[in-house]
Amino acid sequence: MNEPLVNGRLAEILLVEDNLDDVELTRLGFQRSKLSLNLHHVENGEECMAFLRKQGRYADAPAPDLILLDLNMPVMSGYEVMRQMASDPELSHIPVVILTSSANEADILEMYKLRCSSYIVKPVDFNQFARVIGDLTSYWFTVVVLPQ
Amino acid sequence: MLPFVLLVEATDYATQAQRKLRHSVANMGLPLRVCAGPETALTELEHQESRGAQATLILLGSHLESPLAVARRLHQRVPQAHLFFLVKDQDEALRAQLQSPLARIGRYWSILELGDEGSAILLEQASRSARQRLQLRTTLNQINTELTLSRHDWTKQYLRVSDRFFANILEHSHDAIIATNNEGVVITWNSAARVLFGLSPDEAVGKLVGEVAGGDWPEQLPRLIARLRAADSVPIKRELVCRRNDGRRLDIELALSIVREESDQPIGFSAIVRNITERKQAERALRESEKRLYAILDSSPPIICMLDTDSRYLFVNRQWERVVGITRDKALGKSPYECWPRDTAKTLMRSHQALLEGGQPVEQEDTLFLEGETHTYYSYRFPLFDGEGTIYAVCVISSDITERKRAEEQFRLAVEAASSAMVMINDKGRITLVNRQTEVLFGYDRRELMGKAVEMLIPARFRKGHPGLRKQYFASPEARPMGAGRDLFGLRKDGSEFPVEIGLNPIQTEEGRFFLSSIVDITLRKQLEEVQHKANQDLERQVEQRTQELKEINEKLEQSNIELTRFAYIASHDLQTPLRSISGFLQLLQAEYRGRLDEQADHWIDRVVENTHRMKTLINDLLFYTRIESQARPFTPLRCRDLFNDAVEGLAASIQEAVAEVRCDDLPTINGDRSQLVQLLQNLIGNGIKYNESIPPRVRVTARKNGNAWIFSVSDNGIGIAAKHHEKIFEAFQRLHTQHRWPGTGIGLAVCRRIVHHHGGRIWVDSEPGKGSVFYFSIPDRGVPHE
Repeated sequence: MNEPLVNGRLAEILLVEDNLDDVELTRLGFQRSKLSLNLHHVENGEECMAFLRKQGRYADAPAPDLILLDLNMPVMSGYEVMRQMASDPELSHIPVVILTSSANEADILEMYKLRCSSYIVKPVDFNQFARVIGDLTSYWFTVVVLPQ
Repeated sequence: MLPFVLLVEATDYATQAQRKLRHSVANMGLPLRVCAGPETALTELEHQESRGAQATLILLGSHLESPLAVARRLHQRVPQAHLFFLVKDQDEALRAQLQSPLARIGRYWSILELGDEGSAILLEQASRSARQRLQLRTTLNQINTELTLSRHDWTKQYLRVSDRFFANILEHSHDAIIATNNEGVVITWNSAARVLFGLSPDEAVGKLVGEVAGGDWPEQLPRLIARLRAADSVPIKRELVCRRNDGRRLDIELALSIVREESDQPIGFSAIVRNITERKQAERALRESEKRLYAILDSSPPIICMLDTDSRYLFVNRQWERVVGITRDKALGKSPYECWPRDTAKTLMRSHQALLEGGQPVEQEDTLFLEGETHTYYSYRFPLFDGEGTIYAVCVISSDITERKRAEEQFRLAVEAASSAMVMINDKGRITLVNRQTEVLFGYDRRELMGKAVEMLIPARFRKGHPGLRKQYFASPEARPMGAGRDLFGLRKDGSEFPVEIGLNPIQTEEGRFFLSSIVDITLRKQLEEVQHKANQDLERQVEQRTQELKEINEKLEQSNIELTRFAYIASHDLQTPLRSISGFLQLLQAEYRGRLDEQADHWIDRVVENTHRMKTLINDLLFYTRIESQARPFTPLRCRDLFNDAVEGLAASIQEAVAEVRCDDLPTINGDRSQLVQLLQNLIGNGIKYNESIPPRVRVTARKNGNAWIFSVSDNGIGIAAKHHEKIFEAFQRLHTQHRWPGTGIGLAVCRRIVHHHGGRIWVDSEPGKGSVFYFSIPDRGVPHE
């Protein structure tokens, strides 16, 4: 099993997703990719921001190396998360990959304008999805150099 | 003076009776002279007279042939003598003759019967009275002679002074006074003569009057003198024309008389010459002006005549002659009764008489019957006054106005028959004519309107301004509707008002300018207009309401369309999420548990996986369909050749697999959404290849211009489509074939139609089963600049 390390430790990935089915499928996708990493999960934007700012029960949460962000979520949407992160110098350096079922062009354009790192439409086919997860992980943790 | 008796007898009859008579005369102591006839008697009378004897009795014998004629002659000679007609018996015939006034023998005569006893007394009485008469006459003669003598003395006494008077009168007379001798040599030539003839007395006296006093006198004078002599010394008066020696023409009045000596012997002529040149010129001028005046009157079209106060024609002009048919010379001095038909003359005389009594000019219309026709004359009669202010004549000027009257009558009838109310006014605004409709409309009798100000037909609130408007219109009249832009009202006699429309027309006549207004009651029209206006308003309101409703419906429709699109989008999007979960877990199940359940379970799992794939396709197609409008991009100019290439590239796998031939002709540049149009071509070309059993499958794309649009065609040699399906195929999810034979979602042509509609065009198909299909779609040409 490959272990993509970041500065000598396991990669920390934060998945922001309200659909628990998708959470599980994503987790399974990561398993399928045979990569060892720490996958954290929050259910909406608010929790995401609390996690990133180590607030409340996330006081001990690690700073994530990559965020996988869904757009359509209750309480706080992915859009709001992107806007808050872009305007927060403490957070604006963290790469965010949008992982959503929306192929809406307006959404895509808006997210790139908010400097998202990638925009991925969730493939319906699981095998394909698992492959995307694998490619994504290897790209971000073996090819790309991430900030300290 | 010695008296005697004269006996005249044809013969000397010494009859008893005569003897007795001579005896009686002798007894009276008077001498008796006997003559045989009148001639000797006259001679005897003369002879006796020269001796101072006068006959007191004249006896006319019974044998005289015509005693009366003899008596007449002798009576003339001695009127104072008494005449005795001697008869044998009483002669009654002679008496009657003598008593007739024609006898001319004076008052003193008697018939004496010879042998009558009383004859001596009679003779004596007659002689006595005759002698007395003679005595009286002698006395009178004496007085007369004495008077004449004393006048002669006076004349002598004043002769010296009278010469001075005479000279003075001569000198200061305004008339030229000339005296000549019998031969015409000038003796007297006064100052006035000098002025008249331009010669001084020194130059004139001693010359022949013909030489000094003018050109044609020599010819005229002898004739005048002859006449003068014939007139037995009575002076003659003549108006003559003569010429002065210097050639100037003179009109003169000449009084010529013979100058006689006391012995009656003519010794010359006196001429009093008055210069009447100016008077004559004035007369001539007057005649000329009269002639001119008559010429004017003669050539005047009206009848002009003048009558004296006895209604006799003094003057008639040529027109009068023509109309009456009597020449002027026959008419003058005649009365109208002698010139006109009796009835006409009667009428004329009445007018004439009225004028003489009134003394004021009269205008009136005369109706005359001429040649069987009624003629109307407008006549103006006026009196002519002499210097003392007395009417001496009446002048009549009559114009034939029959035609005018006829025209007026026709005009009046036309106005009367008009269907609208017509009111004519003069330039003072007074009503001069109204028709029946006016009476009906305004409720007045026409007698109440005639001559009144037209303002009485106007409501009080408009009355004040009306005369001003009227004058303004009169100043520049033209036929036009009145009161443009204003509502006009008429006022009835009962005070009620009604809306009117008025047309104005100026009319120029010989009697001046008039204005004819045509008035129409527009109450009904106003009501209709009101109703129509209300109906229009209602209609407008309804339309507005309906428009509002439509707008609301449209908005609702739009809203619901937006909502529907959004719903379809959200639905398809949200459907994907559980689908993905199902698909994901199923695939995991398939991968992890294949062979671990029984064969049946594996088959069912395969079936579920397959269906999730199909559902995924459906949802994707639906999503695409909804995005055509919700995610449209602005149109840009596009070269269709590029679009075609992109579409073919997208279909590369299918084309390759089917070994299809896909071509295109020259394609234009159009405005549109690139990705949509690529999709459109891709769907149509794809269908052409897909539903095709020909070898090789062929698809061809063409374009042609039709009006303002490009018509594209995508034709294939495929299986074709039955006509009954030509509409259905463009509906979403409508499929003609089994999923097994030609798999698909049935949304491809629905997408095509939506794209074409989005571009403002339409799409249709021309096809028959087994004969291929041609899909057409139109794209409006939005003026793309050609390359």
